[in-house]
Amino acid sequence: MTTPPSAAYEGVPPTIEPLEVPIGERGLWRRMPKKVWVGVGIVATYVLVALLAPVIAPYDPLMIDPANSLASPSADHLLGTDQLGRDIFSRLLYAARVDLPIGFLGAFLPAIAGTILGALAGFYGRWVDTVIMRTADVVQAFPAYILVIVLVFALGQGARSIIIAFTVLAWVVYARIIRGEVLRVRDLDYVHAARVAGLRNLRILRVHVFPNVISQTIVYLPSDIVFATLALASFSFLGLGIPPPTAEWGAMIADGQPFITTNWWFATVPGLAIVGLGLGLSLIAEGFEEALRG
Amino acid sequence: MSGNLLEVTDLRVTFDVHGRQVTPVDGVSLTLERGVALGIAGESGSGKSLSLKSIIGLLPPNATVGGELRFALDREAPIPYAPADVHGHGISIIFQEPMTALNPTMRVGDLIAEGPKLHKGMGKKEAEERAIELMRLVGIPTPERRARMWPHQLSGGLRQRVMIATALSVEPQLLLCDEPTTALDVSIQDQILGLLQELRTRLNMAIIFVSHDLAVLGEICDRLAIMYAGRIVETGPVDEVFADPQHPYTEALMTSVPSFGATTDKLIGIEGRPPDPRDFPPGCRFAPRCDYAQEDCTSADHHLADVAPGRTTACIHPELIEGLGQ
Repeated sequence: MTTPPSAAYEGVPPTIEPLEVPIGERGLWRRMPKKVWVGVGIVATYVLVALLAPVIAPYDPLMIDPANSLASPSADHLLGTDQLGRDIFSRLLYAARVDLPIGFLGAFLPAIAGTILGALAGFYGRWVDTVIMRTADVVQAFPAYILVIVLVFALGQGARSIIIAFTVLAWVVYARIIRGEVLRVRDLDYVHAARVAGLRNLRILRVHVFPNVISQTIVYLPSDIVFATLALASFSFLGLGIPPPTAEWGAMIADGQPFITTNWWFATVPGLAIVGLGLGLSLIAEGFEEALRG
Repeated sequence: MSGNLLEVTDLRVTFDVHGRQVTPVDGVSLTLERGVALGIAGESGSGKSLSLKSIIGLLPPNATVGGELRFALDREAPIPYAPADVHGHGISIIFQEPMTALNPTMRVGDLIAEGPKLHKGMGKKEAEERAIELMRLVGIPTPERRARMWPHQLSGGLRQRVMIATALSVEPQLLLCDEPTTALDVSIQDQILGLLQELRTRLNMAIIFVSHDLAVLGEICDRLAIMYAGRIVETGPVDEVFADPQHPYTEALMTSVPSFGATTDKLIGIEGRPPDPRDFPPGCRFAPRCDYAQEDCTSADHHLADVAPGRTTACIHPELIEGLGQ
């Protein structure tokens, strides 16, 4: 009643408000701490090595030379040879072609599955929530390594089985994280506003909920790749991973273990390869967390 | 245009809290004519916000809603509806917190365009133009530029305007306002109230405005309903309720608010605390805190009686109220 509607409506007197510098989406990348780029550099190097292994590697990683087994590092063999006379350096490079894809897929697939399932559980609640989260409980109640062993035995040894086993296991973590986030976002005013505007559930979930919870997955994913790679190495070490003679870091560590006193580099170098990859991914994970969680 | 737009009869909101039934909204009835602005005033916990949200079905899943809601879409008489029926048709809502009311991952232009895209079947381009038009309508300067911005780049006042534009995008006949000015500073608050007032006249839109701030309600509303402990205790035209309250709670509420210019008046607080919804007192729920309470007050049934044309009160002894004039 204080403001009489004016006949010549020109909108309410525009308010002069300070305008922040438009930063848009690019701002996020600019906010990324340096460590992310260091991490990306490290991981990119690994990817490059994996792609270029056939070009860089001086020998066929599977070529046996029994006459020249357990050789020390030399100009011919940069890191010496293993117990079958295979070139360790070449095997190290080729192993990246096995460990990287399995590590990445073994983390990405459960991330995708877990994120979707967690979002559905949190958003729809009721029986959807019950079914998904009780399944998660069941998966989690199994000792993880036993479950992988059982799955690998059932599905047959190999990369495919390992990835399936990781997916079956690791989605639970993502589902729990995302479900919690969705429960928080679901009751925010903008989700209510979207509901009142008549938007359908699926659109609300996709446009208004999902983009606001996905950062949790992105933050967790790089560390999960480390876990997956480590787990793969562990299973190979135990003889459950990639069957010989394929070059794989975990298997190489296992091969080198008996010779640790005489040829210490044999088992150590593949271990360092894993550590380096883990370091790169951890830097990315940490940087993401700083940038996205503020 | 006249005729009732919204009729709420005996609205009850019940929560099941560890096996106990708690009823923070206990028998609210109100009618709203087309184009009228109704204010609902009350303390925190009086049930005003829950009442508002149950009109549009935004209650938490553990709430049970009783009573009847009727809404007149277009020019017809009010008919019973389920909240989902009016989503995107006829009723919109704006919220208190401009920080959480806009999706941070959407450009504001796209956000406003959601409604037109869905309900008017507009294409992307057309909906974007409509969004800019709406932004202009709510007084956002340089809307073409701001439509491309993210919510975090806008000030609180502008965000609130974006929220209003989003609410208007479905062309509502009723706009629910859940304390939309409480989180804003006073000068911006005034602008937003002015904007709502203009829009209401221009679009012939009814408003239900919930607030604890009587001054704000006085500025924007035609009629006022005072809520206490889950019930409406008094209704009437704003000016009349302010000038001559017919319920002791209304009177107490007004004497506890500083009025501008009256520097000598003492502020008088209301003794005691609002009752706990888990344990409402019998009879008139204000009786334990009421200066005029009589013996029969604690056994009185809640009933809104007409005291003058367009005015009702739940007080059974309105004649005892001394009034503000002294």
